[in-house]
Amino acid sequence: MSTATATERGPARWMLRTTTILILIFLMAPIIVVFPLSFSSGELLTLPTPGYSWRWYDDFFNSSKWLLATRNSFIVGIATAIIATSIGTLAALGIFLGKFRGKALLVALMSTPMVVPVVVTAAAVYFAFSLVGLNNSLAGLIIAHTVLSVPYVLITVLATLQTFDRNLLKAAATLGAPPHIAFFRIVLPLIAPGVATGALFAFATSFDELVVALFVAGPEQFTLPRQMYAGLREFLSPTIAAAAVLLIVCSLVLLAVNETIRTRAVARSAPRADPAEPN
Amino acid sequence: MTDAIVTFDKVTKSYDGTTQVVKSLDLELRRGEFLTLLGPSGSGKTTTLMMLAGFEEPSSGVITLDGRRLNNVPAHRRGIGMVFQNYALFPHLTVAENLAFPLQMHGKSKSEIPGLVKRALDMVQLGHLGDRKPVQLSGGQQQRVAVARALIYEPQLVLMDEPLGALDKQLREQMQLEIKHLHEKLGVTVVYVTHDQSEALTMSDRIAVFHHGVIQQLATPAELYERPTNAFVASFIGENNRLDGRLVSRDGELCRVRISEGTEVVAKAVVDLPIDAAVVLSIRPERVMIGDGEHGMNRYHARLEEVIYLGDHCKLRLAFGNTESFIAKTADTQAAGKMTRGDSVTVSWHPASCLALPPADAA
Repeated sequence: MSTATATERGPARWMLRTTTILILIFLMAPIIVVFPLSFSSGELLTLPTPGYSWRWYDDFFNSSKWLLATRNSFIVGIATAIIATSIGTLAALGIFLGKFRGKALLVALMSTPMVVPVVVTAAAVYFAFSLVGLNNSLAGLIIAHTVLSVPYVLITVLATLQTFDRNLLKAAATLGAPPHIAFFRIVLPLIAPGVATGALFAFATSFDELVVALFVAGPEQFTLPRQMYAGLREFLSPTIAAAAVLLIVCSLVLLAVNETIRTRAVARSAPRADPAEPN
Repeated sequence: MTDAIVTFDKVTKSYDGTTQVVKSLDLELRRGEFLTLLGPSGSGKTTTLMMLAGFEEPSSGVITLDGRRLNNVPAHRRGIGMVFQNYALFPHLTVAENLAFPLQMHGKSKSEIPGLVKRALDMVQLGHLGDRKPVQLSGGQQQRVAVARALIYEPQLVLMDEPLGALDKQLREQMQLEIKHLHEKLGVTVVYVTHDQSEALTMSDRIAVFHHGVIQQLATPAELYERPTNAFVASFIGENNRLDGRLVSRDGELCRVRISEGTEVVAKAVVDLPIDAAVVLSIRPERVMIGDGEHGMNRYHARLEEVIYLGDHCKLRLAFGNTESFIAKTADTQAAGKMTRGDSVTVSWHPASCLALPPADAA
């Protein structure tokens, strides 16, 4: 019996491993290919590369276009993160604490930017902005990215609030804390991991975003993805690959930061090793 | 001692506009007393507490604290402390920081806070645990911190919502006495909510028994136990034998009640009831005497169903009147041990220990 199962399990396990590895290669290959390309010493985006050099990174950091795009991306990303996190956190708190009907509907409505195709949102934003003159401005881009990012903050903060004990707010009130103090001293520290994750999502949403930038941003407001897109169409140089690698590194850093926050939060809420003495 | 600190004047609460959870409540709290709101779940006791704390608004009626109307005053401006069943300690703050929080909110200066925190910790015998986080404490320790935190800014009124509900029996009894002693020492007014009648009897100056949103009786523990004014209170507080019957005649304090099978009992009339009204007789098991009593009234024969041995006393379950679970307590465990099922037992009781009460809700 046991030998039969072993022989059966052998090929099954082998197939599982192979499939997993193949899927991972499928997912990772396009990203991995960018790395050698970005270090190419040649003029063309071809593999194999004729040799390796830092020249395209030099090019990136000496190009006013790319530097402007980097600056724009960070300005828009950070501003979006701050505004979307404020709006999303307050909305989540209102939905969590409020006593009214139709909460699920409200969450669904506020999440529509996540579901509606981005190109639809982008076109709508373009027409709306043309009425008020917000096209071709960083402010416009920030507003549009905030619309796209709020749902992510709302949903992560709502998820964190599920573990929040409402009695803590009642306790804070009976101890004399007005609602805004209770928010900053009690609620915010306890939901901080969720808020931070939401803020990172918001930043990443803006940092990656191309479609809205295509509609709304003029050359002065080009972000990194928009500049890469322009580079692909105008002159196909390996600088794009260098920019891509830099974007990937940024994403990895964000991921690591998020993971650190999460594990710290878990460690803090768990009791320490030394047991409390009994009564 | 007798001046009112809190008054409820015809306070009504309804969540859906039709069912009233609290019905036209009138209640006066005396300064410095320990008042318990006792009742089964859904009786309106917790809603009453929440209205006083400021977490629910009355649908109608007025609540005052020190003569000041509380309606529409937010909870954080009422100056009423509260202890919750799940402790509600702030998990991200240490014990000392939890205790400092209300002091900071009440504008105490930075220099005096550490001293006050230390004094409060000593008061609940946790002086050495100030640096711990709440999760590192046992349930009993957490509740002590919660009590200290509610008392530290010296509110004149503290509310406790089943604060010992999550603790095991032994610890609960110890904490009951600790809280009672703190109350005596500090002279603060306490409103305590529980569904545990022995807890209410142990701790309270007065108890308000809630049922269906109405206070059935408001009295001292001894009064509630000895002189309940209706059948619900009699059955909710302590053990109780209940016999249904009809009023036959009245003669001043005493009355005759016919219980179903034609047997008549002499009982003490607690409230005025018309002849032939349905009454409930209430007799405490420890007031039922076994064997030939000294007085002639209320002597009956009952059939023994079961002897329950409880160490210091025995319970006899008897078939009597319309019930098969008429309980009598006896300290004579040796005599009880010799009885067997089916024996005819003579039981008797003094008319003063047998109360003729109106049935529940008719009060």
